[in-house]
Order: sequence, then C-alpha cells, then structure tokens
Amino acid sequence: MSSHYEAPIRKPLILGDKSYHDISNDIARPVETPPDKDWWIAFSIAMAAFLWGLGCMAYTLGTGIGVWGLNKTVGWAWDITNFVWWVGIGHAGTLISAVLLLFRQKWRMGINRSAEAMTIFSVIQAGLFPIIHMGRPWLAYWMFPIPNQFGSLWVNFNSPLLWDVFAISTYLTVSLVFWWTGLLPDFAMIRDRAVDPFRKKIYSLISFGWSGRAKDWQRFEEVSLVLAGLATPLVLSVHTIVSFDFATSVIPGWHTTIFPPYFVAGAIFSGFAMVQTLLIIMRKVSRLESYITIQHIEMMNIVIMITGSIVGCAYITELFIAWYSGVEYEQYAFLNRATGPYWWAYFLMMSCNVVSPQIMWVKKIRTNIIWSFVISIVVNVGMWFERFVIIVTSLHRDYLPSSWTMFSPTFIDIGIFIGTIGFFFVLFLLYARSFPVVAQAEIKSILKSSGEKYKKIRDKK
Amino acid sequence: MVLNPDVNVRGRGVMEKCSLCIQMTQKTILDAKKDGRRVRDGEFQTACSNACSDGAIVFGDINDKESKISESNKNDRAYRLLESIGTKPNVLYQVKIRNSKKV
Amino acid sequence: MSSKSLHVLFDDDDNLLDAVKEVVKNKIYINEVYTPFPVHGLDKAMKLKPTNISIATFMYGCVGFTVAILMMNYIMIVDWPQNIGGKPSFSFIENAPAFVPIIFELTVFFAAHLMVIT
Repeated sequence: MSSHYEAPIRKPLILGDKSYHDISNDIARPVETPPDKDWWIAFSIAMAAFLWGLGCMAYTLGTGIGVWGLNKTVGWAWDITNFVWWVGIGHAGTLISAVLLLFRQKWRMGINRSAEAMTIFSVIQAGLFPIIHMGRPWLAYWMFPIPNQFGSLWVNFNSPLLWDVFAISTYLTVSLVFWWTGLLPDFAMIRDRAVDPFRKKIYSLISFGWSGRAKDWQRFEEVSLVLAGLATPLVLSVHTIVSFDFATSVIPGWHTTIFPPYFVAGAIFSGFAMVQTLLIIMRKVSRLESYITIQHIEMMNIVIMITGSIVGCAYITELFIAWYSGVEYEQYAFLNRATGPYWWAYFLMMSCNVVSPQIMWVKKIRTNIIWSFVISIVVNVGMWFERFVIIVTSLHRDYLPSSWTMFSPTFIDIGIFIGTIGFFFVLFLLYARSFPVVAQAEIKSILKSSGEKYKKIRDKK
Repeated sequence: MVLNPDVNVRGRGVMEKCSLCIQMTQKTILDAKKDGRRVRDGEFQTACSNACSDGAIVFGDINDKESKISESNKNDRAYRLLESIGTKPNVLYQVKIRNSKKV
Repeated sequence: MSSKSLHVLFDDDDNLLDAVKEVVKNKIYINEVYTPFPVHGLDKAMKLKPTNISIATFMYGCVGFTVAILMMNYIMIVDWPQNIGGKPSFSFIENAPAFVPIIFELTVFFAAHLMVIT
C-alpha cells in the first residue's frame, strides 16, 4: 500500500484545491500561451544588455586585454571576480536538486527545475570568462590534453587553473544531463497536450520518446538518485577547485586552508540568494504561488541564513589567524582590506554578507516576500564584493611595496559583466516560456501527501 | 631589432623584465649540442655578465655540480628575494662582506 | 489458446496500485503500465526486474578513474616530465596529490555521461 501519509504538522507544499489536472494546466500554461507585454519588456532589456556585453567582448577579442583595467600588479580583477561569482551562483541549483533529493526533502520539488536551469545558465556565464580573459581565445583548445604536432606539448596537470577546466566542464555537462533527464517526463506532458504539429514535433524530439511506462519510471528514479549521488560531491569539489585557484598560490590573504569550505559555503549562500530572487519574481509572474509557497521561500531563507553565518565565521577566522600567526604579510593584507583604499568594498561586503542574513532569525522577516527579495539582492551584491575584495585587495598590495598600485575598471570590464547578466536573463526568460518551470511529474507524486486539499481531508478524519 | 635581430623589442623605449638573455643562452646550448658535448662552465654568458669586468655577475648552469654558480649557491652568503616563501627564484644575491675578522 | 487483452484507464494512483496487486495475485500477465507521474511502489507490485543502472554506473566510474590515472601518468611522467616551478615530476606517487582533483572529476564525468547515454 503506497503511503500518502504526511504528518499534519508539516505545512502543505501545494496550496489550494489542486488536482492532477490543475497541476498540468498551471504548469503548461506559460508554455502554451504567448508571452505578455511584461515578458517582452524584460526580454528586450536583457537582450540589450546582452548585445552590449557581446560588443564589449568582441572589442576585447579584437584589440586585446589592454582594454580592461588590469595591470602587472593586479593581473586578475573583474574577470575572475565575475567568474567565481557566477560559478558560486550555479551551485545552489545542483544542491537543491541533488542534495535535497538525497535528504528526501519534498520541498525541493517546487523549485528544483528552475534552480537547475539557473545553474546551467550561470555556469554558462562563468565559462565565458576563462575564455575571454585569454589573450588569444581562438587557441582555447590548447587547454585540453590533445596530442599535437608541438612534440605533443601537453597541459600542466599540476596547475589549479587546469583542474578548473576539468571541474567546470564536468559540472556543466553533468548538471545539463541531470536537468534534461528530469525534464523528459515534463516535455512529454507538453508533447501530449500539444495541438500545433510543429510544437508537437519539437517536444517529441526533446522528450526522447518518453512513454511513461513503469520501466521508464523505474529507470528514471534510479538515474535521478545516482546522478544526485554523483552531483553532490561534484558541487563540493568544483567550488573547492575554484578556491584552489587562490589557495595554492603564495599571496598573503589567498594562501589559506580555509578557502575550500569558505568558498563552498559562500557559493551556496549566493546561489540560494539568486534562486530566491528569480523565484520570487517568477511565482508572481507565472502565477505559481501555489507551488512555490511561502514555506519554500522560508526554507530557502533559512539556508541563506545558515550559510551566511558560516561565511561570517570564516571571515572572523581569517582575521584571527592573521593576527595569531604573526606573519606580517598576512596581517598587513587584512589591515589593508579594512583600512586601505578599498575599505569601502570591504565594509560593503561585511555588512551585506554578515549582517543582513542575521535578520532572518526573525520569523516575520523570513516569511515576508518583500524582505526576502531585498535581502536576496543585498546578498548577491555582497558576494560579488567579497570576491572583488579577495582578488583585488590581495593583489594590489602584496609582498613588495614597490609593486603596489591601484586598480580601476574600464567601461569594457563593466560592460562585459552587464552583458553576462543580460545573457543570463535572456536565457532564463526564454526558458520560462518554453520549458515547464516546475517539475510537474514530481509534484504530482507528492500531491496526495503534501497537497493542501488532501491534507485537510486527512486531518479532518 | 637594429643591433640584434634575435631579440624582440618594443616599438618605443620600454623597460621590460630581464629575460636572462635567453637568445644567447639558447645559442650556447645549440652550439654545444652541435659539437656533441656538454656546455662548459663559463661558456654561458649574458650581456651583463659579459659587460662586468670585475666578475660581479656570474651566469651558469646550476645543474652542473662543479660550476661556479653551484658553488655560489651553496655559499653562506647566498640569499634570494622573498626566500621564506620558498619559490626558489633563479637569481641569487650575495651578502656584502663587511669589515670583520671572520671572512 | 484464446488471448484477450484488456485496456484499463485509471484516474487515481491508489486505485491503480490496488488493481495491479490484484492482477498480479491472479497471475494475469501485465503488458505495460503507463503513468504520468511516478507511482511509488508500482514497480515492486508489478514485480519488475530491478535495473542494473547503479552497477553499470559504478563500472563507468572505475573506467573514468583508470582513464584519468593512465592519462596523467603518461602525459606528466612518461612522455614529457617538466620542471614546472620546481615541483616533482618523475614519479606518479610524488605528484599524486596534484592529480587528485582531475582524477575525481573525470571519474564523475565518465560515470554520469556513460550512464545517461546507455
């Protein structure tokens, strides 16, 4: 007897009097109806930003990295800050899909599809940066160990930059695969409802002939579990490897062992904040408030609060160890962060990342949509500044005072960043209208246990 | 470009990092290879080691255990820039001998 | 031997599950069961054979692991060992900590992709 029982104390995950058919209708609606004016406005703004960024990238490609604000001392600035920021954002999606699946948290089902989409799109943005920050991006294939005519000149496997290449490629492809396998039954649903033959053809193609046979479902569940099991260590390892880009160097402020856990916690922190931003908008616009409930928002806020606290602990640890170690280079690095020419960035970072999530201890705030939205934006900004502080302040003043210099971004640096934000939203907006944004097959399987109507019936007994 | 076609220079006068006269070094290695022998100690010369008549700059093969540069390396007077980080740069300096009874 | 086939439409998954159990108990052959969403316990009720996916994935992971080790051993130690920043380059054991991230990533890569493709 399959048990559809869930304890009455748990808040319902699907609100309203929804039946299976309602779920199909609600989720297919944005896909089957033409977009409204708001969507077009958002899309044009995002497209404009994207095209501007594309132009800036083309200019960089044609003229050289000299058009950026980098110099000999500060060899990495906005490019790597943006890279780490986007990769960090991407991690939340995999966490929601994979880790919460392994922990059997049903509340993931309303949000996992969009969170995974966000992961894929942000890792695409992240992947742009290693390529455009090369002086000769057309030689990017040299990063791969392919036998060649230069006496078979190979890549250096000792280098964390190369580990990054493998890690990000693996992460992007595995996330894509995880997301797509989850989408197969949902595409099939749209295919089966489709009346227009062109639409039907496309959706049949991308659903890979999904038929809903019991054997298919058995394989589906097992593949989901295995991929989740593989993706979980992947989340941890990928951002750890990104942190190794810094931790394996000798620069004071970078060469610390706290970087791997600190970066992973920071990634989850900023990722959940971005998911929050996107979902709060999407649930309103696509009228999915019954599936992405206040309960979901609250749970995500709790995660943001916890990971924000971990990040705060890491900051304090860094400061303590810098003092306790007695290494003057390390001590100066942190003194410079707080009181040097970039002190304003440091204080922005501290207030956004440490102070703001703490107000989520108050239940009223973490269940309030406006506050959640505001805090999610604040956290995203704060995390960008964290990466900026780590990279630029450590580089602009390291061991030899004769090399100390300042960094300021050019409009190309800023343009490329805005372009990636535009590209991200272009992708996300397109996704919202052509893909089912909630995992409707999974939601249906929990309707009887966690749907409001059914809970009411059960609890009345 | 004018004086030595091997060395790539900037269009205008810009100071760059010392390249350890890589073109001269490579020529020394290739000459030795053509003759089928190892590079002799003292054969490696850079522009600065050539120019200094007092022998204050020595350039050599640190893998050659008998070369002058290896001896200088083992000498107590040898130190490198930011030695405590452990990057072991290829340029080493010697501490100045100050007026003392022990030399 | 006359053979009749029955097509049954359900609108509720609990009813479906009960029916499947009854049918199996009466030793009637079930050709196929289609559902729009996964029904927990259906495959056991239908006595469906468990999949070999997890074992296959493990093997693919081992393949990835071996490929990574062999590739890096060949490239860094056998073919062209280089003195990069003074790091040891003549034995695999010495270099192993540096190779771990890529070994891990390739294991996961092979496991996931080969599983999904097959």
